[in-house]
Amino acid sequence: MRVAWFSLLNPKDKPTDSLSAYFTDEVFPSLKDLIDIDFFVSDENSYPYKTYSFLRAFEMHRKRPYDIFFYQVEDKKECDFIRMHLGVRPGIVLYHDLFFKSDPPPPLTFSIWQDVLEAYLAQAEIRFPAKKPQDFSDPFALREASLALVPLFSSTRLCGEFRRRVLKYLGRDLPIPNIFYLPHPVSYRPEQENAIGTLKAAFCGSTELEGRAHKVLPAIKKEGFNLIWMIKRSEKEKAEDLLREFGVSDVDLITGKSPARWREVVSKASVAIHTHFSAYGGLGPYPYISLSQGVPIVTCDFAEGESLPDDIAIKINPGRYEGSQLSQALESIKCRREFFEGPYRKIARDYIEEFHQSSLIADELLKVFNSKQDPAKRALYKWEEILKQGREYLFKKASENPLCDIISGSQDKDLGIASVWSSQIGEFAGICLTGSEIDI
Amino acid sequence: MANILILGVKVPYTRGGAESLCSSLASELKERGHNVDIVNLPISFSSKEKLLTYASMWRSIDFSEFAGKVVDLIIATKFPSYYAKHTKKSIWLVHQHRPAYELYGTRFSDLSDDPRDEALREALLEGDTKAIGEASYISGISENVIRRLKRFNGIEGEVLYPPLPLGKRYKRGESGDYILSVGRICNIKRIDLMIKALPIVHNFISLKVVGTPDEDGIMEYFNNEIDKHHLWDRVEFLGRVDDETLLELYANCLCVYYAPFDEDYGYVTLEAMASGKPVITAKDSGGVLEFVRDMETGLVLEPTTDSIGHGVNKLVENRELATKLGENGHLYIKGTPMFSGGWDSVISRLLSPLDE
Repeated sequence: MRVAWFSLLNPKDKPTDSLSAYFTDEVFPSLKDLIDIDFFVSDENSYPYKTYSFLRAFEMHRKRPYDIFFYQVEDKKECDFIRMHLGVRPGIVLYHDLFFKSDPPPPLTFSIWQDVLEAYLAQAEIRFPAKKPQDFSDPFALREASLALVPLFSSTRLCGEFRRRVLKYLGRDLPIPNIFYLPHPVSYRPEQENAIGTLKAAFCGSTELEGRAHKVLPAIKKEGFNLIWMIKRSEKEKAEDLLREFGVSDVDLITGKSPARWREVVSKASVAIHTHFSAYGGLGPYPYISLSQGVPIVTCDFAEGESLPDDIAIKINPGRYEGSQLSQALESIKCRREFFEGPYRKIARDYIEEFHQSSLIADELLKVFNSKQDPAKRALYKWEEILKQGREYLFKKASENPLCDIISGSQDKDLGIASVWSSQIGEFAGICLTGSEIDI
Repeated sequence: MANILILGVKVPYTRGGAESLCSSLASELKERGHNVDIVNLPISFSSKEKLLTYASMWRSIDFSEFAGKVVDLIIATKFPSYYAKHTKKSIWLVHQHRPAYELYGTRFSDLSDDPRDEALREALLEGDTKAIGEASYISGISENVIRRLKRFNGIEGEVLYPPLPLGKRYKRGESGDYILSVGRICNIKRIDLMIKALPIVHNFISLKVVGTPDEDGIMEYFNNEIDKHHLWDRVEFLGRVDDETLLELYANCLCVYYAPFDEDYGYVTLEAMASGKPVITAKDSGGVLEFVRDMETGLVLEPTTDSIGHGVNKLVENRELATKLGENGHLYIKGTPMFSGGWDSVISRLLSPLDE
């Protein structure tokens, strides 16, 4: 099976906070011997995998067709190329986000995806609009979600949002109506555990309101925990301001947020706090990495946090009583240290092994690829009809030339160059629009 | 002596670096005794569907002989001149149709996920690969251009940096109280960043802009920004100027602002250096960064108004630094073939198909 894999990737030795790059690193070792994967990117960074410019995907597909185009979508500007290509050749899409903070790349604000999708679903001609007004209407990734042939989601909350919004929008069944929850993969790599006997809280919330630092920091101070705080490099100044504001001084501030780094960081803690609360973004793989290291977690009783079993996560409600609940949670960690440093570790790791183990997730993805390979291929084939309509339109436009009009007019017919001109257009279009090997 | 045609592409009523490149190349070839002419065909980017028509126009012309003279070699420069057919075709690539390549998916491209746009993008990429790939000799005006060609079309080429159009005529002058911007006035050159940065810059510093607009609505946008920030006395649009005036403007400015997005090459950078002036550019300015080093020959800044404004102030407040960076640039450029002697090697490579 040949898969065209569109994702952000972690540059060599430079882990990032990208969820799709993390996902790729986690599942690729289990997939590499089973399927043939070509990675498509938009930049020239040096990656641990052989990569190709996404602009050449169509050419490679034409020479040796891919069975599946696989996309990972997240709320990052760097993902713009994936969002662009998704509308050109739809495929199986793993969503890490369904709400985007930033505007789409400008060409997409003029996209006619609704007309195209309508024609695709109805197997009809596209009604090409003369000029499309620019559209900034919705931060919700409706276009991206609607264009998935098989949608996968890395959080249960996104599955719900998708059902509620996308299916309602389309008002009919999707081309391939199944949707799947594909949990964040976590590989268990034991780090040195020195958390026993210490009161250290690890936190990776952002400095923005949704990161909940303004609730977490006072609770940490009150309960006498040392803080390990992992943030993005760009957040350093703001984090220092917040620490000053809440008088938290015993802090290990770690810049350069990434799941790989979190694995090292959290193993040194006696509790990990994951209390993200926002329509945008989510917890990502961070709480699951904490659990894989046997570290008890405190999380929000909201979105993904809600679906975690109560025996492995202490849940709090965002809002008015959030601060006091956080304090209580930290207090309980202190009071029940024998449990959290003993039996809890096994419960947490067993949970991760059962539901999030990387090889297991890779296997699940492979099952999706295998079971949806034929329908996805058929859908892609049907999509080629859409692209063909674009080519025909273009060819027609390219042939509408003032010179063509003159030489095809009755008074100039005897010039005898009409056929020469037409053959030039035809030759050019022949090379470019069909990809056939005409000797030029 | 060979009969040579240089193929240029012209947007009527505008002038940019490519036109200078063609005319300089023609003069240098003539000086070496060749029979040379420049063939320009017009292009308009207002209707993207017509791009294939322009390409096929080049393709349809028989370049084998004119006026009883057999054409020995054609030298193609920018899109779509390299679609021309000839048994001996040299390419000195200025750039391809960038909205279908590295600008795709950015605000500088008008191609979306529309099936018509995708058909056009695919057609251009395949057409370019074939038309450029069939040339007897392939080169580009910078590392940036050649790297793109390799990355997007899988074609290798040589880098031939164009020597400066005004040779050794560049002058050195005082460090004046104005910033100079030279080039076509369009979005991708990002002159708006400098205009919007002016309120941060010391108020006795002004901006002089040389060049003509080549995009609809761009001057309205600039004038709106000027009104908004009350910059009427601080921004001057000079239009096209003659060579002598340009040399004076370069010689007496504080610094040259040149921060386009992912520029191919940028004569302006080298002209600034030849005039002993520091260059203010951006981290994503592409080919410019092949020459400008931060705090050595100029300032390489984030492409934001804040960063650029504070960068200019650094030079205003420390004229010694401005002079030093300019001096470094001058020393650098003086030691390169772009300043003197460069044409011999450029021409020998471009004419290499004649030896076959």
